[in-house]
Amino acid sequence: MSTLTEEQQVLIAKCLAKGRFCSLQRVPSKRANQSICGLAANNVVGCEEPHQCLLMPYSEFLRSTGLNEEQGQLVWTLICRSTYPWQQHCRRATELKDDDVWISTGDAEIDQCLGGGIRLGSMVEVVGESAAGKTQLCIQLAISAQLPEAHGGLNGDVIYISTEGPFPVSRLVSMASPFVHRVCGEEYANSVDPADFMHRIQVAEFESMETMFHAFDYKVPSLLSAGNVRLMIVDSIAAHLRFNTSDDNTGQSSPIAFYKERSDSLVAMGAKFKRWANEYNCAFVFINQVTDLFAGDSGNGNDNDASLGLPSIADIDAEFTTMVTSKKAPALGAVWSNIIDTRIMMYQRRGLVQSEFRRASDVQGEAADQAPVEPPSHLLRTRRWIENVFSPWALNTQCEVVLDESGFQHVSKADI
Amino acid sequence: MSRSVLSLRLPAYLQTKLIQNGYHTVADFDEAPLAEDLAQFLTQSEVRSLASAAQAQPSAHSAWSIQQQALTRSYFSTQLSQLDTLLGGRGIPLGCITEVIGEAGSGQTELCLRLCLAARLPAAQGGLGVNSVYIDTVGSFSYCGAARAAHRLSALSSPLATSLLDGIHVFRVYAAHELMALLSSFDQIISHIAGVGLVVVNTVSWPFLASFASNIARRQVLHTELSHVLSQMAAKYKVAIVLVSQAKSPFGRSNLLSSSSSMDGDVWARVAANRISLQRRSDGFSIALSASTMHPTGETLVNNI
Repeated sequence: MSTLTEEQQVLIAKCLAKGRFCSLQRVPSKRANQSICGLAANNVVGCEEPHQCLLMPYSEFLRSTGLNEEQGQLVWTLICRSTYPWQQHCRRATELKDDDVWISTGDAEIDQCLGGGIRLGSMVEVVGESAAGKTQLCIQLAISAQLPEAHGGLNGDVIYISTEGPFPVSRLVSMASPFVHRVCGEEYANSVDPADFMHRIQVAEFESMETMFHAFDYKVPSLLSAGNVRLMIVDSIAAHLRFNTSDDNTGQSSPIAFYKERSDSLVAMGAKFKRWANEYNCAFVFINQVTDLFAGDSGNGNDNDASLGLPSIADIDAEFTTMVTSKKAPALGAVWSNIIDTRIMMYQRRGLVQSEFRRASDVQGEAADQAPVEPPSHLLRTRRWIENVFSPWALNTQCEVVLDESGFQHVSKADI
Repeated sequence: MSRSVLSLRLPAYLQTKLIQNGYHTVADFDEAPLAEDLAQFLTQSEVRSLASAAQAQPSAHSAWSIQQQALTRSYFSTQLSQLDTLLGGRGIPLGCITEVIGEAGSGQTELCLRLCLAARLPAAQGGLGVNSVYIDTVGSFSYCGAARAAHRLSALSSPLATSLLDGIHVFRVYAAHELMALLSSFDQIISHIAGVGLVVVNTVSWPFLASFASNIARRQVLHTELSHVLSQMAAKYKVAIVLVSQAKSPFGRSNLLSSSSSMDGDVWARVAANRISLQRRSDGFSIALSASTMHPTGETLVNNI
């Protein structure tokens, strides 16, 4: 066991004698603070930083530093105070009202379904099968975030990380005018050029997991620190993390090791992003893919669907639906599900649009309440939904939407 | 056989000093001329504390006195009748730890918000009128979420809802050492925010996972240490401590009542008086009391938490 040297004991005794730390009101001098914390850390085996001393049992800390009860208590208190000055961090719930800032989707109904839109400071996942419209929704958000505050935007910059091929510039261009037209009105729409929305989107494309994580460690923080980014989109997070594409040096790739490494990377990345989301006041949106579920956990199909965040067939208000019964779950597993705050699912089903069906029936002269056995196939439409599967700020709700050149809008009940 | 020095109720550093200087049992320093030898490496007050510690016998309480203590324990209603029924009709106990396990999206945050608000309600409505400390390790707390939870609690008028929200004090921590620093400062916090009755940690698994992603052994050591700290804290300050832990994924219907369904194993279950498991179903939320020192296990279904 190592004890403090004579010199160090003298320093602590001096501070004790001066009574510097006796009263909570008096703030100890920074130098004394640091030197004492540093001394403590140096004496403890395996600690480079003072705050690591907090990660061991208090009795072990006392044993390693050789401080007596009084000194140990003071040093411990000092370290706690410098690590986490709780007075600065305590906030009442009512003081947090101004922290609720939202990026609108451009449509009030969809916003309401999501609890207000995409909240700054949150980690949002957009998941769905391919061609569900995830990228289009993100482009819509990217435009919306840049709009001036007077028109419901946040006047912010956007970072777009693309891992599944080139960034869809043409879709951005084709969506910009109609979207701004719909959301802000004709007058403002005529005054802006679609190209204006391209300057403030920083795009980065990565072909592998390593380059992506390297960018997360270095490039992204420097972009964020400029202070103006309000939205960062990763399209998609799953692309390089789903399958073990990189070969080990040994030539053998163990699947367990791969999944372990993947969850460690996800956790480390998630921890970083959570801090940045708060520090730089921006929202992170991650696009995720779905993966097939194989029969393992038998049980009521409906229950499993719900617990995985998928809508059950009964919930969809479409009378005749034909779809490939698929048991799919968001990729990247439970580790990832616990890192995100909000999950938004986008899905499509082929279903009957009631109003069209009624019109068709009237034309043919059939009684309106006599449902035919099979729906005429020409009346089946692909219907889309956006669902807020879980989020800390809104309940589970679904909103039927339609996709056109201006992006997603809600479908009003009358049209269904 | 004489008592070992290590079994005496002495501070750790004192025990180490004694052993280093060759005193291993009480008999060793009984024989020596006390004053001179010990004074070489101990102060006067330390010598005195040594004498009293050597004479002290370990104490025991009668089961009756413990039961008397339990009878005076306070509870607050969760405002969800089905959950209150599961909890013996009384609700969440103060002075004890309650563990809540659930997967992502199973209503953990909603339940935490509900409990913070329910604890603040006046006694006439089943609450205790106490403040709550909400330790947010994942970024789950928002004013709008809390306001919506207040709305769901009952048809509350907005000034009443605001006074409920005023009682929630939020601390955002990001890493394990920050959580430990916060909990070490707890007695200062308690005296600063008077009248705290509930402490919620949402979630208790994440900061350790984030700081030690690949080192499960280290996490378990820290969890065990923290569980002791929290257990003492709950008893000392007579607050209810609600710990949210992440579930092992994904548990199907049969595992809801299983004891080790948390990602952290059973470390919190060992110190928790009640263990509540949450699961989202297609028609609502399933809440189960999967383990308890006070009530029989049970399960119920609610529409919304």
